[in-house]
Amino acid sequence: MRADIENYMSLDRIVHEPARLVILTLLAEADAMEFRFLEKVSGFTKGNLSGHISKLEQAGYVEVVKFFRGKLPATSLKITAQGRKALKQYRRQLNEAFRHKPTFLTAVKRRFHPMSS
Amino acid sequence: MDHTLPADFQPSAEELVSLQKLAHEYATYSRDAVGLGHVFGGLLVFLLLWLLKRDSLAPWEGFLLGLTPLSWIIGKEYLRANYYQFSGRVTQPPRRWHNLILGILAGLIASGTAATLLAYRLNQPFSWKLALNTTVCIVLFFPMPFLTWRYFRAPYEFVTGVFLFSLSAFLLSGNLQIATRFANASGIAAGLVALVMVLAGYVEHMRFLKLRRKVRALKEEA
Repeated sequence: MRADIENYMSLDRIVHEPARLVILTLLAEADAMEFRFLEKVSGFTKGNLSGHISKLEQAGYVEVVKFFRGKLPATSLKITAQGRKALKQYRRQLNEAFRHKPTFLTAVKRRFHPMSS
Repeated sequence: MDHTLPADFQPSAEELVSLQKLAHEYATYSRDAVGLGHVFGGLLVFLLLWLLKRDSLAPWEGFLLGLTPLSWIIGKEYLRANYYQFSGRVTQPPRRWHNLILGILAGLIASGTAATLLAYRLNQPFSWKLALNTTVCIVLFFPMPFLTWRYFRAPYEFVTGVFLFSLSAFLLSGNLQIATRFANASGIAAGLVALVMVLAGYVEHMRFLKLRRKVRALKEEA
């Protein structure tokens, strides 16, 4: 039980934030993704999205490439190997934290000694 | 800059999975799925096979036919960039088989060139016209690995692209007889692939229309 709590407490806070989790999950599905797509699909505002992307970039989880298409500026985002690893580890830790189901014996113990577990 | 999200923002696991699927499907339209581009390519194969069945093609007609595969590439790339990736470019990770195919293709072209030059040297009495035709034809085969790397990214695209550009190399270099023989020899296989390609393209296009509705609904929700 204690190990589970420790596991849960050691979750990567950068990935744990819901908006950043959405961004990383979406980026993990593609080689590169334009900011425009991310904005439309996630429903976040430009400012919101930029703020979270900056944090992910600082953590080394996302690579940002700015370029021009004709005369219009565009931004392309790419999840880094480190970002993929962090997302994978986050999912594993979360799965482990919620994996434990009470066995028959622990359920009986809890029924008769609620404070023991 | 406002970094705050609505207080109740908590994506459920189902929402995350559905967004993930949507992004994955959208990304396929950058590489594997070509929709109407597949339909156009398949129909072009049928058209060329049918036209090459006629014996009375003039050299300029052959030259014009040789240029048609270029219109396919331009058309499908335009559709890919401006129609299918309507909401910003999202690219699919490169496939491992693609590099393998590229290597094999480059090897085949190199050995084919060597074999052609050797056969020409051994069997033919020298003729300027034949030498020019052979050289142009060989040179036209050289960009094939580049075309495969840059434009034939989906499996059907690769098969049809190599067929069409081989035919194009024969036609543009004035080897009309070789082009007709090549079309007759590989007609059934190319026709079957073209048929599958047309059907696959139609299914991909229908799937895309659904995907577009989903993305637009998400945008309106936001």
